[in-house]
Amino acid sequence: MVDATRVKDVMAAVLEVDVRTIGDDASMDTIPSWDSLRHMNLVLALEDAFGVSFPDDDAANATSYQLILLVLRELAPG
Amino acid sequence: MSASVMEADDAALTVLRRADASMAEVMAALSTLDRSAAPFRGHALGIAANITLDLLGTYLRRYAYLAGVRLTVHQGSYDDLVGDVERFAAAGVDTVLIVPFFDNLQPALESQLPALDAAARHAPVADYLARVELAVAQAKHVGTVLLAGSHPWHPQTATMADGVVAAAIGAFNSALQQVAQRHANVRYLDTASVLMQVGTEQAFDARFYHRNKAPYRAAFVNAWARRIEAATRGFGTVFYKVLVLDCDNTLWGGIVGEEGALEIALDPYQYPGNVYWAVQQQLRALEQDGVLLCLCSKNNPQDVQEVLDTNPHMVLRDAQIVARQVNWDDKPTNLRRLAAALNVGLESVVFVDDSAFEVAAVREQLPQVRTFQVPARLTDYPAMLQEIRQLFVAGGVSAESRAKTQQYRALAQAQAEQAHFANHDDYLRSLQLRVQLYRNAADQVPRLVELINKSNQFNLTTQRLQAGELQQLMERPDVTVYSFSVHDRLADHGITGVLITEDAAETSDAVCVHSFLMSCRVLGRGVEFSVWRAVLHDAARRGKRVLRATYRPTAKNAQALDFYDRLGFPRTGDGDRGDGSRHYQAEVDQVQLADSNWVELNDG
Repeated sequence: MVDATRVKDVMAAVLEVDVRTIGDDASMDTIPSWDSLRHMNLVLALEDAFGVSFPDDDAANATSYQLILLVLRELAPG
Repeated sequence: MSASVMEADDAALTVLRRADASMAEVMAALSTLDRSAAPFRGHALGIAANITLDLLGTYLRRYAYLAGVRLTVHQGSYDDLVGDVERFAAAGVDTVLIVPFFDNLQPALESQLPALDAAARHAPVADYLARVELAVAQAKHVGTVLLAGSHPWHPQTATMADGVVAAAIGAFNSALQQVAQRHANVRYLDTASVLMQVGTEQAFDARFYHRNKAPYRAAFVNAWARRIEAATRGFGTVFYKVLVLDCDNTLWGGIVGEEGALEIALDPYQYPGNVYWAVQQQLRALEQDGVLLCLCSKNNPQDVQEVLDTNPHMVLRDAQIVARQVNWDDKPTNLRRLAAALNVGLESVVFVDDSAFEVAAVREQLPQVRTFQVPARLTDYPAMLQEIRQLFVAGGVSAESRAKTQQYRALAQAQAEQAHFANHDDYLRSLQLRVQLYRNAADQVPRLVELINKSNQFNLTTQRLQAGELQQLMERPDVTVYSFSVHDRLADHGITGVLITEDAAETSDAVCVHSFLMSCRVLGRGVEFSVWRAVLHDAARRGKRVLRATYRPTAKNAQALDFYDRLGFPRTGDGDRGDGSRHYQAEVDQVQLADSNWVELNDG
């Protein structure tokens, strides 16, 4: 199981926003600080936190909370 | 300050101290400390790199806070070394960090090298070194300039074509070391050893290197930041003079009180004795460089003395030890005594011990002492000594410069081959910059749309357009969509900029600039000024009298704030809506554009 709260905590830390502002529809379009630089850091931080490695295309394209959950669920063991 | 705020600060510092803190934890802790009202010393550092290195700023700030410093990091533009350093110097930074990533001196340079002839191999390196010289000249009043050495991007390429890449990187690093040698405020910082420490698997990220020119993972950046913190002596907060060493399992293997002065492990031909012996050699080198070595050991004094006197493998003898506390008292007490005996502050003391308990006790009671624990993996011990050496070398150990002189004399030859330029203009001229200008180039729409939507930093109005909208604009008679490609003697940079003008509807004599944006990789070379010659010419030909332009601020385009001022357009000031916009109006036939005569503009 992927801990959705933890995903949002990581997002909040990297994107420097209050975790309460990260809704289920959060994406690069809704969070102004989520630019391409922060996106790299976000992927690296998620990989670090969940002990996984995003495949090449997913690393670039997982630009919303929902897509991130999708990728993490695919990668999560069990 | 309230108790809860202080607790939050302490909790954040505890996170930063934890070796296994995750990236998100580090970032959250930094945010907490950034909001803290606690007194931190300030220090500003600028990073000029030819890659994306934002993450290094994050980790530098981590180790700065641990040293009691609130570090302001200025991130430079992408590969604009001279411009960056000029801006950093003007901003009054304390430290400048220059990072050349070898493989990106030119696109995929390591892969290109084996097929190039000797002269072509040398060109990108010589070009960068010329820019380093100019940058260092700009930084002559900056406290410290750290010049990062380079390393292979792909470990495999280091062996490519009989070592061509390794040799090129070696020569490049030698030349950088030489620059450091010639300038008092410049220091060369090795990165290859950081790479060895972290391992290439953990160091590199091919995904983000190829997509965003961000080659490093957090593990590398973290280890590197730690080195930089040490090399800058905690960003100027400390000056180490004394190295205090435990004895058993620190200077030798085993416990002398149990095993005997001749039975301890210190044999240079046998593991683990050889590791301790190598470490003692490093310690002796430090002593020769002026570091004060002390012993602090829970032992019978006569046992330790026996080792110093009789063990044939001991490298350190009485003559190398300036003071000692060998007794059964606790280590913090003994460290205080040593500092008092030598008349130095505890903040100038570095302490090494194999016991986690002792290290923790010192950290707890004497936080101003810099502590190191002998690594659990003993074979990492000599590498740790190198790290310790950095602390003292950065402190201006006097013998260092003497050694440096000899070390670098052999490299004088390489320097003679480098091109030198009197100033930045000279250098720019040598680049033979050529700009090819296009108007309404329908076949470029996909690339232009990409530029229009991706360019953030050098984008004056940040008006995003889709392909259809851009095509429509190209078809309008009152609109001109300019695009341009840039080429110099080193590289073809491709289509790197877009400029769109639109004739004003309300009056017949004005042209408005709808958009102007460029890829950061060609900024700072005058290209951004050169294209305006054609725009003015076109406007005049259409019978227009004035050119109106606007800078609209976004979260990311502060870099372009004064672009039109620098270009030479007069500001009107009117029409401001309080959003930070700047408005300009230039007389088409009178305006004096900023100089860019070294750029050849091919029009048509």
